[in-house]
Amino acid sequence: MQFLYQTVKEIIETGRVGTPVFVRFVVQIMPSGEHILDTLARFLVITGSWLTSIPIKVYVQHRENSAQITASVEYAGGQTAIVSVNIANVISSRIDLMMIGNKGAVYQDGEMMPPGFDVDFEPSSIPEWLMDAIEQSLFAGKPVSIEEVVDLDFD
Amino acid sequence: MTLIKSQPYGVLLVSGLMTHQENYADFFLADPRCVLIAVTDEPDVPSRRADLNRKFASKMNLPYIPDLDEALKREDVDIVSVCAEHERRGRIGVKCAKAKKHVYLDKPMACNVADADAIVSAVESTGVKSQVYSMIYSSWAQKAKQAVESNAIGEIIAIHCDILFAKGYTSDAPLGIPRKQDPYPKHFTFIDSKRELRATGVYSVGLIRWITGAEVKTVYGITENYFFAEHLHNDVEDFGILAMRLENDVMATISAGRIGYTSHTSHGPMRVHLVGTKGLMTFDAHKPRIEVYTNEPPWMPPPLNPDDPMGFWNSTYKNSKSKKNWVPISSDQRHNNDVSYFIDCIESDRNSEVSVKDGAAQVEILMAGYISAESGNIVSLPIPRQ
Repeated sequence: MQFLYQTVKEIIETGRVGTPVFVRFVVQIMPSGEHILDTLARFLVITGSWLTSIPIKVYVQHRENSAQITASVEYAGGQTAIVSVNIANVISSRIDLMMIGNKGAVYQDGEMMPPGFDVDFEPSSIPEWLMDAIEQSLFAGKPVSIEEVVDLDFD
Repeated sequence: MTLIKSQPYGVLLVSGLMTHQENYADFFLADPRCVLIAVTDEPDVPSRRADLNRKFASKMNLPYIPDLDEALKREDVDIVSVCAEHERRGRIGVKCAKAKKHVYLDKPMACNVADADAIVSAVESTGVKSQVYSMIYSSWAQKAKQAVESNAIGEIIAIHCDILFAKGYTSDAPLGIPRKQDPYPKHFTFIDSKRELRATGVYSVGLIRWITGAEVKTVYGITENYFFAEHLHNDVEDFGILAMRLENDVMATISAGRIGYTSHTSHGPMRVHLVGTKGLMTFDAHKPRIEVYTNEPPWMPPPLNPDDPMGFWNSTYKNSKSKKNWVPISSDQRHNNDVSYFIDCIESDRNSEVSVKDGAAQVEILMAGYISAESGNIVSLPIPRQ
């Protein structure tokens, strides 16, 4: 995952696709012991890094007793993202990625990924407020603005 | 009961050039069970629309009947294909159904839920058959449906659909301007832009309802301007996302929009991801395919057509080369003749899988998306009838 992250980052930095505006991740990974919320947060950190922006609103959907979670996110610069993580007992993990810029796009076809592709990637850190926003949206069943989360933390 | 006729079905075309009638008329023409009768429209359409209709009639070697009411009186008309501008579809759809003609409607079939409801009511009261254009008969969509029905993915948990059109010349429209969405938009027709959440999102919404067989209960939507100055100028979105919850507690998301000619090897990303208790399956409109790379000159977008700068209509591409790097393998990927399925429905006296009732549900979901995009909140269906 580190190499995928870095390759996309380098493509963005060349300016070939213009300014990134939308990221769509559909991820299926094997059970690893990591909590699904942490996995989701990791991919949101990656997404934010590519979009060079921070989320302002997060809507997380999850069905009880299922290993699927989806976040629809709005960023400070008007960018958007949909990140879906599914944990399944499968032979190999896969990552489908569509990153759209205002001048082009990057596609990663999950079905083309080699068996054993390493999906692990440890971002520098997962901000506490992001985890709070994910959890609050899940709990409330509605979109949560980061401002509300930060306010709650300080209250 | 079958209703097979001894003579072909007469088809009346409402509106002509610079609409999807350019495609639909060819679909009807290709079906030996149909014969085109005439092009028509409302008598008071703007002169530009009337000119485009006359030119289309001439191109198709058909008469132009400038009064829809007169055209609908003809007994040799069995089916009406409606491609009028979005704002006129409600009343025209009602009129055609009340004239007891089967109706084939361009998508989305109406601009608001009241118009959509009126069409449904007219169709149901007269018993005519109806169909709204969709992608459900394409082979990749059929395979996705089969995966659900055959239990290949287990119990369905989530469905994610991306259908975006690689069309239009992207511009340097400023980014980062917060979009203020009108929750009840009324103007949908522009030469140089469409409300893309509606125009392209309607395919994904239709597929999700059809594949899952479930109704949408809640909608969360975001609309944005990323690519085109034209859309920004007209205050219509060029991109949007929806996050939905269906009645069987299935999660669904879509991304929709027009992202520029050079953003994709083919016509644009068109994929459905199904997540079930057995794992993830993806269905792609561009698979299976052969990839061809040659020393031919690279593909170039069509010359800018001032009457169709976004490349909405087929006629804009008539002198242009098509993208040819990806060649579909299955023959059934090459022709998606939605119309033939509609004729099958008429002949076998059964309702289409995308009747006006389904089209109305699509309209309601998309309009809920606009209400949500304005408020930032989740919207529950049904939405108020206005």
